[in-house]
Amino acid sequence: MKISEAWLHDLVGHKLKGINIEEVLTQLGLEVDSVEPLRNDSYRNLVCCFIKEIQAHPKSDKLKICLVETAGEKITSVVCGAKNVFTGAKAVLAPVGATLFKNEVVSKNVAGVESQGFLCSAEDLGLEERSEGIILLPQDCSINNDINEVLRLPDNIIDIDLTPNRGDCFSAFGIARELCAFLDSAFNPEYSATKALRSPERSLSLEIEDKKGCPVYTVAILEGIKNDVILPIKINERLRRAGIQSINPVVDITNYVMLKTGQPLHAFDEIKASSESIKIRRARNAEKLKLLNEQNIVLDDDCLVIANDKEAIALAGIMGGLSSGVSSDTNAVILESAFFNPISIAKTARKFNIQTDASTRFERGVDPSLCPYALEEAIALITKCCGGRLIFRKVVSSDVHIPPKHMISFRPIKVNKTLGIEIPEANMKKILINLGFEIKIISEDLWEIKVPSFRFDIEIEMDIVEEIIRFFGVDKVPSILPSIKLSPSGINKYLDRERKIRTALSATGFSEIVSYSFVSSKFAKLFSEMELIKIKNPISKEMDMMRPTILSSMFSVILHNTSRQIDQMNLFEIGKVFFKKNGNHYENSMLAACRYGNVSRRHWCQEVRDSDFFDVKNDLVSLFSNCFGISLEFIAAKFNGFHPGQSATVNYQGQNVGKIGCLHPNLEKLHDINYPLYFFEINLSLFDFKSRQSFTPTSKYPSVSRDISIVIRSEITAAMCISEIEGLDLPLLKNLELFDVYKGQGIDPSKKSFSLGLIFQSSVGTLTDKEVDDSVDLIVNRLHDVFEAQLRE
Amino acid sequence: MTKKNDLVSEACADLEKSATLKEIEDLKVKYFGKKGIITQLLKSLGSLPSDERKQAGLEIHTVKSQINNLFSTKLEEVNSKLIDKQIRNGTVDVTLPGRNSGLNGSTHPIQQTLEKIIDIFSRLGFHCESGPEIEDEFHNFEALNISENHPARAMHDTFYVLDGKLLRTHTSPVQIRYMRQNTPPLAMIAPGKVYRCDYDQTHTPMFHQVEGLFIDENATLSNLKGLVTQFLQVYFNNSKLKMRFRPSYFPFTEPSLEIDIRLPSKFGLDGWLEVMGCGMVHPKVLKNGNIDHEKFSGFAFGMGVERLCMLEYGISDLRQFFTNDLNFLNQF
Repeated sequence: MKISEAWLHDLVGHKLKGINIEEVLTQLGLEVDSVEPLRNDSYRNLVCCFIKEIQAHPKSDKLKICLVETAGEKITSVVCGAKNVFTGAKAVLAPVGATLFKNEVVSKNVAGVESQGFLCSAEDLGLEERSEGIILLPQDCSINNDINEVLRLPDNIIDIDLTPNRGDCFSAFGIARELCAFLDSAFNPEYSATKALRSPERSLSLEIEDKKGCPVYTVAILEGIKNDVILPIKINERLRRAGIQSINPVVDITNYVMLKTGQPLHAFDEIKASSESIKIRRARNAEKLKLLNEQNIVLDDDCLVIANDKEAIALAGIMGGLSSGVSSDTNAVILESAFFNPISIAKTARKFNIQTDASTRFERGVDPSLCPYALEEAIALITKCCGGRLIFRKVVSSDVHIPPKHMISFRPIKVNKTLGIEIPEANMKKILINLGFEIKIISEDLWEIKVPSFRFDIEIEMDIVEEIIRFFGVDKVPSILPSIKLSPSGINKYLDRERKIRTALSATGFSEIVSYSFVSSKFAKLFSEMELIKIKNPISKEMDMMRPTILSSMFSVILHNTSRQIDQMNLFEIGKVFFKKNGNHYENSMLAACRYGNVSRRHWCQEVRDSDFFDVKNDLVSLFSNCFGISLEFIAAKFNGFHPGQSATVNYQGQNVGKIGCLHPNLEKLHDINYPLYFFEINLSLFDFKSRQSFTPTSKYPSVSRDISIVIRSEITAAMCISEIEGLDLPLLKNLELFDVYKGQGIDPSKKSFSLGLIFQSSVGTLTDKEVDDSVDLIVNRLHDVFEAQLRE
Repeated sequence: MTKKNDLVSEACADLEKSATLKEIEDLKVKYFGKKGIITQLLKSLGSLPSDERKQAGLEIHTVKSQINNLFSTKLEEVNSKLIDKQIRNGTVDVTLPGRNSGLNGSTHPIQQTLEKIIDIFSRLGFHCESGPEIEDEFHNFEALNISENHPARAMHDTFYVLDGKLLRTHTSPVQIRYMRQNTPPLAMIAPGKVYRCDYDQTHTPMFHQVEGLFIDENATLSNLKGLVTQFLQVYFNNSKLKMRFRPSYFPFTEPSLEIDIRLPSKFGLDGWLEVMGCGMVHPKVLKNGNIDHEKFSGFAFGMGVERLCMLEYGISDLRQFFTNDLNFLNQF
């Protein structure tokens, strides 16, 4: 909320002088976002003047010659084109010799008449972007007055970022109350006295159907008003400095009263509303209303409306209807000042996504006792500025539905217990009383506190504690580290293993990414057959599905980088994936990584080659074996989006923990990718990452190594051979590696050759040739028996 | 005897002529092989009369050792020449680039910031916890004193997924889960991803937070200030870090505070910068966590990880974190 600092000074008084309001408000929890200074140094020598006489301009109907009097009975003649100038008005004169924005005012010939300066508009003074007419000063303003004082310059526009609990501070009065309390005094707002209404000349039946939605409704009818007058500079300036746009005098006055008191008001054009009755009711389903902002809305019975005999004419507490809107032609108005249920307003405002100055205040809570005061304030201002007479007034209130004033049991000791410092009880009392709380002392340890009707945020004892600390000063609370019983904080095992993976992968050239958890449904389906979780209110169609696999969001990152001439990248991400299964939803912690482009850069003594399946397989295998001592198994498989001949499920202890493979050539082509892309994704939650519990003593006897080559049918996989050999459970076989695969000359085309390196070692003695030969024979025989493998000569 | 002396000179001359290890090896056979000159001489000793044998033996051994010495000297010389040659041939331009995968591995800046935060709190004795990202309304809102019509729900633009489920808008729900599973004293932090419908230079629909919770019998606002001050000083490595605590509003804490810091001018950021929200845990929240709010009190705090990371490196566009441009990532 924006507010003029000068206005606050007017309300709070001399005690505020020399106080840094920005700092004070922020320290009270009313955070000041910005302070915009309004200076008076852009003009000099402007004066107040009195328009003594107006003469017709000889050559123009639009121009007038004004004889104006300034201090010392000096008379000056100026030419003025403003419509609102009249004899007897008080205005701002820029006489010859004055300066406005570095331009000196000189005597000027205006259509044949000499003008010794000019009468200023708000635009001339830089107060408004565009203005019609000259600034009219209040009649009680003397020509001897200092113009800066009249215009309240210099000033600061203070922009306060109010937290949603402080509806009570959405007004000049509210802020003044806080400042007064800070200055150790109570704020006593002044409201206009009730205007006498001898006998109503008009009748209007008032019917509140939904008393819970509208516990208080006050209304007045004014007629004979002129809604094209120019409002006093004070009102215009305060509104302008609050960032509220000027519409027409009546609307401006209702806004002004709202800004001053916090009570939103609404004015209907009495003739356009054309009604013998006002109803406050729930809307009918599918009832239509065109709002003042020309938005057409379709209502339902959750919405509270103000209606005439026939139809809804306003969305209660949020915005008026266009048909009954007040315009400059309006000469009779129905003024409304009501208390609406905050929840009802909040719901409706959210439903239509409309936020207005009124709805923001009603949602946060407006003092229910304020309605009649604000109404009188508006009646007084309208009759004063726009003329007219009060012809009807009515107040309807349903006390049972007005939020009760909270009574809170408060133990002063709670303050010290919560804050960790002593605050004298006398200070506490003073703070609370200045803020409008009433205190009844039950006992030394217990007070009963009555919360003022404008505070919607105070419900429990702790809220009282907060009020006290706000005004006592958070700064005065010392910073003391808590003392705790020392206990080793167990390292989170999930974080620990993730940390290991990050360190290992980044050290081997992988860059970690963090991509969005939501993807387009197209990308979600590229790599997954899972049932997807859809976001009901996505930011865009590109982000409307929770990713079922990290690959679907990582793929966008890859494409982003390839489109920016990156031709080599290894990426990884640790994060969650989301899917549905049998009606339940799941979120799993996954690790995904990809390899794209060359294995290495061009180098003076090394050949460049593209990464392939066995590079990415090694990335995965060494990561798990080096970090966790875990060995993984690979079984050929086919997946969405993967090359059908280069993809595998990854198993750990017989359980499927992930997949690995190459991007399907179709996708490669479709997305214009230059190199094959390899990736894997592993479900981290399926592992038992126990640290190693034991070890095997190393043998002191020499090992013996033997290489054998076997010829075997092409369809037999490496894993099949190896698992057969491992199945023999040979005690002397210490290591086994498949180091060559050969097809071609000398081998039957339907067959291939595997070369195996075998290492034997015993822990009890040096091996004899026979022992080793026997073991090799066992292996060869087994492979022969199972796969008809032959030793290659 | 002369013959034997000649033998030394002969060996000397022989060795002079040889240059390779092979030639030296052959010479060794000539002198020391089974049928070598020295071997023959030693064998011939047996045929000498016993009174001469001792003298002759001594002489042969002297010659043998002299020739042996000649051999080792020569071998050393040849070997050293060979090594010299090997070194000459093996000399490289050490300034040429090494074999290079061409990849700059890195961890994500947000992750680095997270780890830094976690580290500080772990060292202070805080447990590190996590919670689900798809939450229910109870844990995300109700239990945290954000009722259905609470104005704070307007602040949270929530993504809804399944019936009654949503993407958590903050890490605070972990507080509730942790309180319900543990008994005080409690000291925990919960880092993680959170989601809100908002997308511009300063908002992304996904971002990271770290939540903290401390509950004990006499936890006070003063303790909260102490702990948070300590954290920020360590984080920004500045024991004189300028900070201010100002009252604010969160539904789940009462009183609530926000913390602003002022960074040294080298960061190019003037004025107060908001870095954390905190406060004393609201009695209703303690109650929802099954903790007796008359016996225990506590405080909670929360911070945006991206915010801290941006302040640390002077990053101005939040969205860069999730674009994952390698030219950006590889700087970290």
